[in-house]
Amino acid sequence: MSMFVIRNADASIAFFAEKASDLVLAPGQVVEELQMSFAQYANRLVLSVQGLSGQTVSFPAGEGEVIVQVSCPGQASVDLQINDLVETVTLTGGAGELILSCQNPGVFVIQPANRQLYPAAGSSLLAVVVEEA
Amino acid sequence: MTYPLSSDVSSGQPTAYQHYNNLRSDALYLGQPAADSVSLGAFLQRYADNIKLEYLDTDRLRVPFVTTRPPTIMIQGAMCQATANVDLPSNSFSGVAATWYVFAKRTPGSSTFTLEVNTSSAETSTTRLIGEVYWDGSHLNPGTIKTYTGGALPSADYDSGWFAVANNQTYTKAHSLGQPPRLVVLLHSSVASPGAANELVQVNVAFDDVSGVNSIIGWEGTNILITTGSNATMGTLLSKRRISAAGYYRIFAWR
Repeated sequence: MSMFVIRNADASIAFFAEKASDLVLAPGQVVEELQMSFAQYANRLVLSVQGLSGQTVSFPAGEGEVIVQVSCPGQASVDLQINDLVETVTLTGGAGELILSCQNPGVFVIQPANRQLYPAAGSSLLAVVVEEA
Repeated sequence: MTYPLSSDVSSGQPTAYQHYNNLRSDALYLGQPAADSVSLGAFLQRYADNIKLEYLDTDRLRVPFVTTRPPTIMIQGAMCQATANVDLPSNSFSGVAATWYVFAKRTPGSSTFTLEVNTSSAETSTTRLIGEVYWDGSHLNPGTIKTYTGGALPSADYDSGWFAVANNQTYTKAHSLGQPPRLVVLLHSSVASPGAANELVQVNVAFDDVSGVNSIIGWEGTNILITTGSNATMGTLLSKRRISAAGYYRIFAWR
Protein backbone atom coordinates (compact mmCIF):
# COMPACT_ATOMS: atom_id res chain seq x y z
CA MET A 1 0.00 0.00 0.00
CA SER A 2 1.41 3.37 -0.91
CA MET A 3 0.48 7.03 -1.23
CA PHE A 4 2.11 10.09 -2.70
CA VAL A 5 3.44 13.36 -1.30
CA ILE A 6 3.83 16.32 -3.63
CA ARG A 7 6.54 18.74 -2.55
CA ASN A 8 7.16 22.28 -3.76
CA ALA A 9 10.55 23.49 -4.97
CA ASP A 10 11.37 24.68 -1.43
CA ALA A 11 10.64 21.11 -0.14
CA SER A 12 7.46 22.19 1.62
CA ILE A 13 4.54 19.77 1.22
CA ALA A 14 2.02 21.07 -1.32
CA PHE A 15 -0.48 18.26 -0.77
CA PHE A 16 -0.74 14.48 -0.70
CA ALA A 17 -2.81 12.08 -2.72
CA GLU A 18 -3.97 8.49 -3.05
CA LYS A 19 -2.94 8.38 -6.71
CA ALA A 20 -0.02 9.84 -8.65
CA SER A 21 -0.70 8.69 -12.21
CA ASP A 22 -2.93 11.68 -12.89
CA LEU A 23 -0.80 14.39 -11.29
CA VAL A 24 0.17 17.41 -13.35
CA LEU A 25 2.92 19.06 -11.36
CA ALA A 26 3.65 22.76 -11.09
CA PRO A 27 7.20 23.84 -11.97
CA GLY A 28 9.67 22.65 -9.33
CA GLN A 29 7.27 20.19 -7.71
CA VAL A 30 8.37 16.60 -7.13
CA VAL A 31 6.51 13.47 -6.05
CA GLU A 32 7.54 11.10 -3.25
CA GLU A 33 5.99 7.65 -2.94
CA LEU A 34 5.61 6.45 0.65
CA GLN A 35 4.76 2.92 1.75
CA MET A 36 1.83 3.73 3.99
CA SER A 37 -1.87 4.29 3.54
CA PHE A 38 -3.34 7.66 2.65
CA ALA A 39 -5.22 7.69 5.96
CA GLN A 40 -2.10 6.85 7.95
CA TYR A 41 -0.25 9.77 6.40
CA ALA A 42 -3.18 12.11 6.96
CA ASN A 43 -3.38 11.09 10.62
CA ARG A 44 0.23 12.14 11.33
CA LEU A 45 -1.12 15.53 12.41
CA VAL A 46 -4.82 16.10 12.94
CA LEU A 47 -6.24 19.32 14.35
CA SER A 48 -9.82 19.07 15.53
CA VAL A 49 -12.45 20.75 17.67
CA GLN A 50 -15.15 18.62 19.23
CA GLY A 51 -14.22 15.80 16.88
CA LEU A 52 -14.44 17.95 13.75
CA SER A 53 -11.44 18.30 11.45
CA GLY A 54 -10.97 19.23 7.82
CA GLN A 55 -13.64 21.90 8.07
CA THR A 56 -14.14 25.33 9.55
CA VAL A 57 -15.70 25.47 13.00
CA SER A 58 -17.50 28.47 14.45
CA PHE A 59 -18.24 29.66 17.97
CA PRO A 60 -19.95 32.74 19.35
CA ALA A 61 -17.77 35.38 20.96
CA GLY A 62 -17.94 35.43 24.73
CA GLU A 63 -16.19 34.40 27.85
CA GLY A 64 -15.56 30.80 26.84
CA GLU A 65 -12.65 29.05 25.23
CA VAL A 66 -12.23 26.77 22.26
CA ILE A 67 -10.12 23.70 22.87
CA VAL A 68 -8.32 22.45 19.78
CA GLN A 69 -7.33 18.79 20.02
CA VAL A 70 -3.90 18.11 18.56
CA SER A 71 -3.10 14.55 17.50
CA CYS A 72 0.45 13.86 16.38
CA PRO A 73 1.22 10.20 17.10
CA GLY A 74 4.75 9.35 18.18
CA GLN A 75 5.78 12.94 18.90
CA ALA A 76 6.51 14.68 22.21
CA SER A 77 5.64 18.11 20.86
CA VAL A 78 4.65 19.89 17.66
CA ASP A 79 5.04 23.48 16.56
CA LEU A 80 1.85 25.05 15.31
CA GLN A 81 1.36 28.38 13.66
CA ILE A 82 -1.71 30.23 14.90
CA ASN A 83 -2.20 33.12 12.48
CA ASP A 84 1.25 34.72 12.61
CA LEU A 85 2.45 33.25 15.90
CA VAL A 86 4.20 29.92 16.41
CA GLU A 87 3.39 27.95 19.54
CA THR A 88 4.84 24.66 20.72
CA VAL A 89 2.20 22.21 21.87
CA THR A 90 3.40 19.59 24.34
CA LEU A 91 1.98 16.16 23.65
CA THR A 92 1.31 13.22 25.92
CA GLY A 93 0.90 9.94 24.10
CA GLY A 94 0.85 11.91 20.87
CA ALA A 95 -2.08 14.07 21.97
CA GLY A 96 -2.31 17.62 23.26
CA GLU A 97 -4.50 20.69 23.36
CA LEU A 98 -4.42 24.24 22.17
CA ILE A 99 -6.73 26.69 23.94
CA LEU A 100 -8.13 29.65 22.07
CA SER A 101 -9.97 32.55 23.60
CA CYS A 102 -13.44 33.42 22.41
CA GLN A 103 -13.26 36.89 23.90
CA ASN A 104 -12.93 38.77 20.62
CA PRO A 105 -14.47 37.99 17.22
CA GLY A 106 -12.01 36.90 14.59
CA VAL A 107 -10.50 33.94 12.77
CA PHE A 108 -7.81 31.60 14.04
CA VAL A 109 -5.99 29.75 11.26
CA ILE A 110 -3.97 26.90 12.76
CA GLN A 111 -1.45 24.99 10.71
CA PRO A 112 1.89 23.23 11.13
CA ALA A 113 4.90 25.52 11.47
CA ASN A 114 7.18 23.03 9.76
CA ARG A 115 5.70 22.61 6.26
CA GLN A 116 8.43 20.23 5.19
CA LEU A 117 7.30 17.80 7.85
CA TYR A 118 3.54 18.32 7.79
CA PRO A 119 1.23 19.71 5.13
CA ALA A 120 -0.92 22.77 5.64
CA ALA A 121 -3.82 20.89 4.06
CA GLY A 122 -6.25 18.07 4.74
CA SER A 123 -6.75 17.55 8.46
CA SER A 124 -3.61 19.50 9.45
CA LEU A 125 -5.13 22.89 8.69
CA LEU A 126 -7.98 24.19 10.80
CA ALA A 127 -9.87 27.47 10.79
CA VAL A 128 -11.76 28.49 13.93
CA VAL A 129 -14.16 31.39 13.58
CA VAL A 130 -15.21 33.38 16.63
CA GLU A 131 -18.36 35.18 15.54
CA GLU A 132 -20.01 38.29 16.88
CA ALA A 133 -22.41 37.12 19.55
CA MET B 1 -32.74 -12.98 -45.74
CA THR B 2 -36.34 -13.52 -44.75
CA TYR B 3 -36.99 -13.90 -41.07
CA PRO B 4 -38.24 -16.24 -39.82
CA LEU B 5 -37.09 -18.96 -42.17
CA SER B 6 -39.30 -21.55 -40.52
CA SER B 7 -43.01 -21.79 -41.24
CA ASP B 8 -46.06 -23.41 -39.68
CA VAL B 9 -46.48 -27.14 -40.23
CA SER B 10 -50.02 -28.37 -40.92
CA SER B 11 -51.54 -31.25 -39.03
CA GLY B 12 -50.57 -34.50 -40.74
CA GLN B 13 -47.87 -32.85 -42.84
CA PRO B 14 -44.58 -34.70 -42.57
CA THR B 15 -41.83 -32.52 -41.07
CA ALA B 16 -39.05 -32.37 -43.62
CA TYR B 17 -35.42 -31.93 -42.62
CA GLN B 18 -35.58 -28.41 -44.09
CA HIS B 19 -38.28 -27.50 -41.58
CA TYR B 20 -35.98 -28.58 -38.79
CA ASN B 21 -32.98 -26.75 -40.23
CA ASN B 22 -34.96 -23.55 -40.76
CA LEU B 23 -36.26 -23.75 -37.23
CA ARG B 24 -32.75 -24.32 -35.93
CA SER B 25 -31.39 -21.43 -37.98
CA ASP B 26 -34.10 -19.14 -36.61
CA ALA B 27 -33.35 -20.24 -33.06
CA LEU B 28 -29.59 -19.92 -33.33
CA TYR B 29 -29.04 -17.10 -35.83
CA LEU B 30 -32.41 -15.32 -36.17
CA GLY B 31 -32.61 -16.71 -39.71
CA GLN B 32 -29.23 -15.38 -40.82
CA PRO B 33 -26.52 -17.54 -42.43
CA ALA B 34 -24.20 -19.00 -39.80
CA ALA B 35 -21.28 -17.30 -41.53
CA ASP B 36 -22.86 -13.87 -40.99
CA SER B 37 -23.86 -14.08 -37.36
CA VAL B 38 -22.73 -15.43 -34.02
CA SER B 39 -25.26 -17.63 -32.32
CA LEU B 40 -27.84 -16.03 -30.02
CA GLY B 41 -26.16 -17.70 -27.04
CA ALA B 42 -22.79 -16.22 -27.96
CA PHE B 43 -24.38 -12.85 -28.65
CA LEU B 44 -25.91 -12.77 -25.17
CA GLN B 45 -22.98 -14.42 -23.41
CA ARG B 46 -21.92 -11.18 -21.64
CA TYR B 47 -25.44 -9.82 -21.27
CA ALA B 48 -26.30 -8.13 -17.99
CA ASP B 49 -28.95 -5.59 -17.07
CA ASN B 50 -29.78 -3.76 -13.86
CA ILE B 51 -26.76 -5.22 -12.10
CA LYS B 52 -25.43 -2.61 -9.69
CA LEU B 53 -23.23 -3.24 -6.69
CA GLU B 54 -24.02 -1.19 -3.60
CA TYR B 55 -22.46 -0.88 -0.17
CA LEU B 56 -24.51 -2.77 2.43
CA ASP B 57 -22.32 -2.98 5.53
CA THR B 58 -18.69 -2.83 6.56
CA ASP B 59 -18.09 -6.21 4.93
CA ARG B 60 -21.14 -6.69 2.73
CA LEU B 61 -22.36 -5.74 -0.73
CA ARG B 62 -25.79 -5.85 -2.37
CA VAL B 63 -27.27 -6.01 -5.84
CA PRO B 64 -30.61 -4.31 -5.19
CA PHE B 65 -33.81 -5.74 -6.62
CA VAL B 66 -36.35 -3.41 -8.23
CA THR B 67 -39.55 -4.99 -9.51
CA THR B 68 -39.60 -2.99 -12.73
CA ARG B 69 -35.88 -3.48 -13.32
CA PRO B 70 -34.93 -6.94 -12.05
CA PRO B 71 -31.21 -7.76 -11.97
CA THR B 72 -30.67 -10.04 -14.95
CA ILE B 73 -27.45 -11.66 -16.05
CA MET B 74 -26.18 -14.43 -18.30
CA ILE B 75 -23.78 -16.60 -16.30
CA GLN B 76 -21.81 -19.08 -18.38
CA GLY B 77 -24.76 -19.62 -20.71
CA ALA B 78 -27.50 -19.72 -18.07
CA MET B 79 -30.07 -16.91 -18.02
CA CYS B 80 -30.37 -15.83 -14.39
CA GLN B 81 -32.70 -13.27 -12.88
CA ALA B 82 -32.98 -12.17 -9.26
CA THR B 83 -36.36 -12.06 -7.54
CA ALA B 84 -35.14 -10.23 -4.44
CA ASN B 85 -32.11 -8.29 -3.22
CA VAL B 86 -28.94 -10.30 -3.73
CA ASP B 87 -26.70 -9.85 -0.67
CA LEU B 88 -23.14 -10.95 -0.16
CA PRO B 89 -22.91 -12.98 3.07
CA SER B 90 -20.99 -11.57 6.04
CA ASN B 91 -17.42 -12.67 6.63
CA SER B 92 -16.73 -13.00 2.93
CA PHE B 93 -13.65 -10.76 3.20
CA SER B 94 -10.52 -11.50 5.21
CA GLY B 95 -6.80 -10.95 5.38
CA VAL B 96 -4.70 -7.95 4.46
CA ALA B 97 -5.78 -4.95 2.42
CA ALA B 98 -6.44 -5.82 -1.20
CA THR B 99 -8.74 -5.38 -4.17
CA TRP B 100 -11.42 -8.08 -4.14
CA TYR B 101 -13.37 -9.11 -7.21
CA VAL B 102 -17.11 -9.68 -7.08
CA PHE B 103 -18.85 -12.48 -8.96
CA ALA B 104 -22.43 -13.41 -9.75
CA LYS B 105 -22.71 -17.14 -9.12
CA ARG B 106 -25.30 -19.53 -10.51
CA THR B 107 -26.33 -22.74 -8.83
CA PRO B 108 -27.76 -25.79 -10.64
CA GLY B 109 -31.48 -25.98 -9.95
CA SER B 110 -31.88 -22.22 -9.47
CA SER B 111 -32.66 -19.48 -12.00
CA THR B 112 -31.50 -16.69 -9.70
CA PHE B 113 -27.94 -16.01 -8.57
CA THR B 114 -25.85 -15.29 -5.49
CA LEU B 115 -22.73 -13.19 -4.87
CA GLU B 116 -19.24 -14.30 -3.96
CA VAL B 117 -15.86 -12.55 -3.82
CA ASN B 118 -12.28 -13.52 -4.44
CA THR B 119 -8.90 -11.81 -4.72
CA SER B 120 -8.54 -13.49 -8.10
CA SER B 121 -10.52 -12.09 -11.03
CA ALA B 122 -10.74 -15.44 -12.83
CA GLU B 123 -14.23 -16.68 -13.66
CA THR B 124 -15.21 -20.31 -13.16
CA SER B 125 -17.82 -22.53 -14.84
CA THR B 126 -20.48 -21.10 -12.49
CA THR B 127 -19.40 -17.50 -11.96
CA ARG B 128 -19.38 -14.22 -13.87
CA LEU B 129 -17.16 -11.29 -12.90
CA ILE B 130 -19.34 -8.23 -12.21
CA GLY B 131 -17.20 -5.80 -10.20
CA GLU B 132 -14.58 -5.04 -7.60
CA VAL B 133 -14.15 -3.35 -4.22
CA TYR B 134 -11.23 -2.44 -1.97
CA TRP B 135 -10.94 -4.17 1.40
CA ASP B 136 -8.64 -2.27 3.79
CA GLY B 137 -8.10 -5.20 6.11
CA SER B 138 -11.05 -4.45 8.37
CA HIS B 139 -13.79 -2.86 6.28
CA LEU B 140 -14.87 -2.06 2.73
CA ASN B 141 -14.22 1.37 1.26
CA PRO B 142 -17.59 2.38 -0.27
CA GLY B 143 -15.96 4.77 -2.73
CA THR B 144 -14.05 1.93 -4.37
CA ILE B 145 -17.05 -0.14 -5.41
CA LYS B 146 -17.08 -0.61 -9.16
CA THR B 147 -19.69 -2.42 -11.22
CA TYR B 148 -18.27 -3.70 -14.50
CA THR B 149 -21.63 -4.53 -16.01
CA GLY B 150 -22.94 -1.00 -15.94
CA GLY B 151 -26.31 -0.13 -14.54
CA ALA B 152 -28.52 2.85 -13.95
CA LEU B 153 -25.49 5.05 -13.19
CA PRO B 154 -22.26 3.75 -14.67
CA SER B 155 -19.06 3.94 -12.69
CA ALA B 156 -17.01 7.05 -13.36
CA ASP B 157 -14.52 6.81 -16.19
CA TYR B 158 -12.04 8.85 -14.15
CA ASP B 159 -11.60 8.76 -10.38
CA SER B 160 -8.88 10.93 -8.86
CA GLY B 161 -8.93 9.20 -5.49
CA TRP B 162 -8.79 11.43 -2.40
CA PHE B 163 -6.21 14.19 -2.12
CA ALA B 164 -5.61 16.74 0.62
CA VAL B 165 -6.46 20.33 -0.21
CA ALA B 166 -6.12 23.85 1.16
CA ASN B 167 -7.33 27.31 0.23
CA ASN B 168 -5.62 29.42 -2.45
CA GLN B 169 -4.17 26.51 -4.44
CA THR B 170 -4.51 25.08 -7.96
CA TYR B 171 -4.76 21.33 -8.49
CA THR B 172 -4.41 19.92 -12.00
CA LYS B 173 -5.34 16.31 -12.74
CA ALA B 174 -4.93 14.50 -16.06
CA HIS B 175 -8.19 12.60 -16.62
CA SER B 176 -6.96 10.50 -19.60
CA LEU B 177 -10.45 10.32 -21.10
CA GLY B 178 -9.26 11.27 -24.57
CA GLN B 179 -11.94 13.94 -24.80
CA PRO B 180 -13.43 16.62 -22.56
CA PRO B 181 -15.56 14.89 -19.91
CA ARG B 182 -19.32 15.28 -20.26
CA LEU B 183 -19.84 15.30 -16.51
CA VAL B 184 -17.52 16.17 -13.63
CA VAL B 185 -18.39 15.85 -9.95
CA LEU B 186 -16.16 17.23 -7.19
CA LEU B 187 -16.67 15.92 -3.65
CA HIS B 188 -15.34 17.23 -0.32
CA SER B 189 -14.63 15.07 2.70
CA SER B 190 -13.57 16.37 6.10
CA VAL B 191 -11.73 13.12 6.85
CA ALA B 192 -9.03 11.33 4.88
CA SER B 193 -10.73 7.98 4.47
CA PRO B 194 -14.50 8.50 4.67
CA GLY B 195 -16.79 5.62 5.51
CA ALA B 196 -20.52 5.28 5.05
CA ALA B 197 -21.22 7.45 8.12
CA ASN B 198 -19.08 10.38 6.94
CA GLU B 199 -20.95 13.05 5.04
CA LEU B 200 -19.56 13.97 1.64
CA VAL B 201 -20.47 17.36 0.23
CA GLN B 202 -20.54 18.17 -3.46
CA VAL B 203 -18.35 21.18 -4.16
CA ASN B 204 -20.07 23.75 -6.31
CA VAL B 205 -18.50 26.99 -5.10
CA ALA B 206 -15.88 28.34 -2.72
CA PHE B 207 -15.09 31.84 -1.46
CA ASP B 208 -12.30 34.06 -2.65
CA ASP B 209 -11.32 37.20 -0.74
CA VAL B 210 -10.98 39.17 -3.98
CA SER B 211 -13.72 37.85 -6.23
CA GLY B 212 -16.23 36.46 -3.74
CA VAL B 213 -18.29 33.32 -4.40
CA ASN B 214 -16.88 31.37 -7.34
CA SER B 215 -17.18 28.10 -9.14
CA ILE B 216 -13.74 26.56 -8.78
CA ILE B 217 -13.59 23.72 -11.32
CA GLY B 218 -12.93 23.60 -15.05
CA TRP B 219 -11.83 21.02 -17.59
CA GLU B 220 -10.63 20.46 -21.14
CA GLY B 221 -9.58 17.49 -23.24
CA THR B 222 -6.60 16.61 -21.07
CA ASN B 223 -6.99 18.02 -17.57
CA ILE B 224 -9.41 18.85 -14.83
CA LEU B 225 -8.36 22.03 -13.06
CA ILE B 226 -9.40 23.23 -9.63
CA THR B 227 -8.45 26.57 -8.13
CA THR B 228 -9.54 26.99 -4.54
CA GLY B 229 -10.54 30.37 -3.14
CA SER B 230 -8.17 32.45 -1.06
CA ASN B 231 -10.52 32.78 1.89
CA ALA B 232 -9.11 31.29 5.10
CA THR B 233 -12.40 29.74 6.21
CA MET B 234 -14.33 28.97 2.99
CA GLY B 235 -11.58 28.57 0.39
CA THR B 236 -12.23 24.90 -0.41
CA LEU B 237 -15.94 24.62 0.30
CA LEU B 238 -18.88 26.96 0.69
CA SER B 239 -22.02 25.00 1.38
CA LYS B 240 -25.03 25.02 3.67
CA ARG B 241 -23.79 21.65 4.92
CA ARG B 242 -20.37 22.90 6.01
CA ILE B 243 -17.59 25.30 5.08
CA SER B 244 -13.90 24.56 4.88
CA ALA B 245 -10.51 25.87 3.87
CA ALA B 246 -8.96 22.40 4.05
CA GLY B 247 -10.14 18.79 3.93
CA TYR B 248 -10.02 16.38 0.98
CA TYR B 249 -11.26 16.41 -2.59
CA ARG B 250 -12.14 13.58 -4.94
CA ILE B 251 -13.04 14.05 -8.59
CA PHE B 252 -15.28 11.78 -10.66
CA ALA B 253 -15.62 12.30 -14.41
CA TRP B 254 -17.62 10.60 -17.15
CA ARG B 255 -16.88 10.65 -20.86
